Amino acid sequence: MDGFAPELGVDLRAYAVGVRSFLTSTAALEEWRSVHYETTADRIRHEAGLMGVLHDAGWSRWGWPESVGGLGGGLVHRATLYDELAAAGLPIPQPTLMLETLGPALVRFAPHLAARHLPAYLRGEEWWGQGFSEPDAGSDLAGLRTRATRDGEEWVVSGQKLWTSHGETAHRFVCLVRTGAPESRHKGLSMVLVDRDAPGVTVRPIAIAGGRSELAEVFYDDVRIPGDQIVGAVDGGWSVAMYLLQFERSVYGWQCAAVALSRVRELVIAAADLAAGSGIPDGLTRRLGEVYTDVMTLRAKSAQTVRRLAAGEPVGPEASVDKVLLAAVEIGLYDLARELLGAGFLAGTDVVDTAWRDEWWYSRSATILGGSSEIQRTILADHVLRLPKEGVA
Amino acid sequence: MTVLDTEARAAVAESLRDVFADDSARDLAARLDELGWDEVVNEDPETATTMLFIEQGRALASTSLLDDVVVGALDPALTGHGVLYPSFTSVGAGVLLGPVDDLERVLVPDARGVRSVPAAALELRPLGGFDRHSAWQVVVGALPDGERVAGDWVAAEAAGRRAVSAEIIGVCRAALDLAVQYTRDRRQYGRPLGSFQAVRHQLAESYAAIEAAASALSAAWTVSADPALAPWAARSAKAKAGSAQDVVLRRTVQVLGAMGLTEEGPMHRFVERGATLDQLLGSHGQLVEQTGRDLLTGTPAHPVVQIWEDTP
Repeated sequence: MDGFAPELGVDLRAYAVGVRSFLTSTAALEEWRSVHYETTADRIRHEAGLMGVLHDAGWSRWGWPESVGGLGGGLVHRATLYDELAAAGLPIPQPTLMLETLGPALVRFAPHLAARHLPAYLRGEEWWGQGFSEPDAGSDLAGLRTRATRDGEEWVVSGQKLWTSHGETAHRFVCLVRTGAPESRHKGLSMVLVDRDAPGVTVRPIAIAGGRSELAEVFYDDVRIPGDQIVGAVDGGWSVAMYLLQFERSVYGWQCAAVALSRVRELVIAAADLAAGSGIPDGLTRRLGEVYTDVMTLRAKSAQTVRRLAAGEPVGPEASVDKVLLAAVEIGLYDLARELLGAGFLAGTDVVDTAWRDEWWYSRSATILGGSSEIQRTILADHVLRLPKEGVA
Repeated sequence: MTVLDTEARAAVAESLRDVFADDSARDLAARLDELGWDEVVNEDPETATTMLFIEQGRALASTSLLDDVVVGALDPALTGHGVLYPSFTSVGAGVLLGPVDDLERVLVPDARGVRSVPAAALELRPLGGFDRHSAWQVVVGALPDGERVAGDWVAAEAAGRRAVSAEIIGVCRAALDLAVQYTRDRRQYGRPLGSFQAVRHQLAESYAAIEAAASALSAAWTVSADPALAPWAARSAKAKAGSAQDVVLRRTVQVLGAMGLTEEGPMHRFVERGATLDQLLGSHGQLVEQTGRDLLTGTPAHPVVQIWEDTP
């Protein structure tokens, strides 16, 4: 079946079967199997090429509206594609991580910008970064200070954003900035789209431990943006951010669970080699079983959340559970890898060893990005368990 | 696939709480019959079974309802038989969920399948020990001979594990409710205990562990009709429920301070029941160890959940 068949929009089983068959039988996809990259920039650019192939064949256009270059269908199409990519030994292209977080919010709050830019994003010709955190506003996002000031038809953005994923190579940034009074907290924020090429934008890559430039610091020095690059209402940025976070807590979790399952399979192979040689260290068989069980559980929880979101139900504070489970999977999986691979992890010179080391460091961000583990627990305590507010008499 | 909507489920849960709270002479089966329970089960077996056992766990009730689930999965024609669970085998030949006075025969799983033995020939003593409030009996002495019966113990065990998982979830939810209420009311240093971050986070972790177990259980139900996958997923669900009781009850005991340790307070009952249910049909430690061994000997790391299935 080709990837444009109209029935794929309503028949998810046919879509899943079709995409699996495409991914496992297309020779052109071989160049994305078992690849390890020297730099993050290389990885993002090469994996963006995979987006192009999937787009040309139709498969990755399902789940997006026609107005942005899609073929219709819903979120479950996208979630199916990511899962099948990982199952077929292919990467979930790096640019899709931010696409899943930023794309739906753009479609909902700024259809004109979505129509203008998302078609190129879907083709893998461009990708974006998300500018939320700042040097003085991490978990406490409502304290951010980067400003956008109106000047006639334009807005002028000044400030600094930190920890922008994919910032080194991103073509545009979706930033949460202050448009209200300094003390307006979450009420005076707006979401803006800034082109990386705009005068005044400076990107300084930040290497995470291990050496990879996963993140960046982005400076905005009086950057002028057209008035139509506000996403949603002026001073309405918080609701855009909250809408966006629903996707970050569900689809991102699902993508991570899909990758984690394929990493479990790789570890099983590595462990089988050990079992045939020096033997598996005490306790690691149990931990392997635990990690697999946790990955399966994350899939189950995340699938429920994704389905609710796909059905148009709001995903509220209880989605912090997904984030807590995701963090446990990432930490548990990569700690197991580190221990199981032992000296190979620590001192191996193979590209696979390097990749495990890089991913181990990246896995540490699971308890920090998108609201730290402490924030997730506080959300559950406040809004789900309805415990007395922290520090209140 | 769940059929009952949220409103119907709330009504059913309330009725079940009444059933378990009813201390009249009528037996449990009669109370469930009055409720028209068979119809609810027929309409939506997943929701019905899960809710029944969650409420049993909440109520700390000790009944033989699990036998009906296990025997029903083995062979409905055997309904009315008891089951000897191959757990607690270091202190006896296995456990029964209660005395055998009104049972004629007991089903005993073994390496070759299942046999049916005369109940009267079993030598029993109360399991007691850590959970003195259960009606469970341990079989001491040799097992009598019996005749082979047809039926797949692996499938029966999977059905049993799904039910016990729900019961553990019920135990954990009740313990968490208790801890949340206590930390809202109890004040120290002029503030409710529940306003201290260290306390709040322990309870949030408990909530996440319970929800994780509930999701794993729901995944186990989605593949319950698949003979190859059902036991694998049910084992994972039971492991997650077992580890949830470990995570939750350690924390709920802690936030109650010394009140969590007393005989007069209710918390110890949840700890004791949680630990005992964890052991029934395999503790979480044993189960994940088995899963690890299976993965290392060629069982595929199955995804179990497919996002495109069971989509509303």
